[in-house]
Amino acid sequence: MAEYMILMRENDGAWGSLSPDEQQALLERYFAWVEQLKQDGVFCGGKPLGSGGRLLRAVDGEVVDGPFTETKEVLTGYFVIEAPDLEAATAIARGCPALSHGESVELRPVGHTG
Amino acid sequence: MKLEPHAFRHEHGRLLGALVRRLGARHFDLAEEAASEAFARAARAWPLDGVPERPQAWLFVVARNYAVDQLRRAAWLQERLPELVQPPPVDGGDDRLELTFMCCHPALQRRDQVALTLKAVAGLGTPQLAAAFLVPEATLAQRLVRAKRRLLEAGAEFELPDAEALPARLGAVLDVLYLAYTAGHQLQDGGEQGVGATLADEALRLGEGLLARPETARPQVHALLAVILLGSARFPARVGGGAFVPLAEQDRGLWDRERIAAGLGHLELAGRGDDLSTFHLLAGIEACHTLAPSFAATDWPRIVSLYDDLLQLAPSPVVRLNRALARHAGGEEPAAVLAEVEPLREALADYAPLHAALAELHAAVGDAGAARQAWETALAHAGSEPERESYRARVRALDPEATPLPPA
Repeated sequence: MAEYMILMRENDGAWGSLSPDEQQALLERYFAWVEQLKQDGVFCGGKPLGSGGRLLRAVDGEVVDGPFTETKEVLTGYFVIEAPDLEAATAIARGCPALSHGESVELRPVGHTG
Repeated sequence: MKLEPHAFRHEHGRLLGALVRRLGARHFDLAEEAASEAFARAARAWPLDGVPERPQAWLFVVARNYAVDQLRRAAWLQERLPELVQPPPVDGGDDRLELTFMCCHPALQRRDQVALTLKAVAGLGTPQLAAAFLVPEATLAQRLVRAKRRLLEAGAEFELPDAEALPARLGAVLDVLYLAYTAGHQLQDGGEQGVGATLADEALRLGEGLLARPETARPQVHALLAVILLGSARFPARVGGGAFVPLAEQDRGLWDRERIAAGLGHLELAGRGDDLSTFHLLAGIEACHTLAPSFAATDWPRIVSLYDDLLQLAPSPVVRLNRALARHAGGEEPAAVLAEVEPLREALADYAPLHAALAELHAAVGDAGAARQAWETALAHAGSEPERESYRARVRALDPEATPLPPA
């Protein structure tokens, strides 16, 4: 068994166009999904990521910071799951509710050297 | 952990109200964005961390922090900071009423007051509202943007109007709720039961909010709630087999008895005091219908007299038409009623129910040709498939041998 990280990316502002009813429906899909992962014994953890924060980068040798909300795609959260291989992990990631409202999901093995 | 159905929608107005109160009316947009962001973060965080013990406070803190983040660089923050660092509103605290009055500000056209109230206070989405008002989503979104700009220009304040302005402003709020309800009514009859019932229920909920505060708990609010409850009690019987079912043919067993009882309760409370509003009269008419054991056994003379009073208070061709139909139902000479309805042709040329009424009356005086023609005109102006289907059925009943009309 290996661990995989499911990274969720939202198009900046996509959530704002959802009505409260739609947001609640989404919450309920996340509840159900996390519950299912736990029941299947594949859930290792996860956290939402806030949108405030800083991007540090080196410019001409100087480290500068800036808000990274300038980017169109924002990382909004991650889950860590356990699966025998990438195929099995992909099958699990397909069920991620993020995919049901236009977010993209990135699946990465944790700690694999490749 | 389960949330109540529509908990977010119901919480939306409360959260937005709490934010606008603290951010000031001119930061309405930011408040909306912050509220939306808070719900979005709840959807991400709660499945992992569990629903917090005080969800309202959680949402407020997240929304406030977001707003502060957005404003951090603005000099304006210095001025509002003391208010923003105050503790979250206590559970049960409610700023929705102020928000409702702001959305129903006289600087806005009535239709924009309705849309903004349903969006901001009732938490309906732009697609739902676009469907309700039969306009493209982009148009509706544009209208909302312009409406909010107008509020800024007009210097709309986040507060209840003073005692002098309150009666007129409350009247506007009630009109807005009534329009939301009638839009729901039309959708309901058009086969869009989901959105239709939602609009009616939101109008009801906002009306109940008015009753919760002594300043706005007026008899006409009870009257409006009676209208909505008694009218929407008949929703389940109004569409059947893909066609609109007129009152005379409705299965009265399908009417919602609980709503009727609640509506009659509000009607009684509406009678305490000297106020007489159009809603009192409309509620009286609704009550006559819901209390009648059958269409034939309805108290038509009483309904006609309520329509007479309504014409005194708020004359309109639609009220005239309905008064005439009540006279027809009560057994008045069809020729006399027809003479009453004919003059309304000009004002209501595009109004399908007028042509349907003319058709009924022509048939009643034995003029099948004129009746058929009027049904076809009604069919051409009908706004929904169930309405068209009910008109087609009338034509078939009139002349079973005739070639069926093509689908419109």
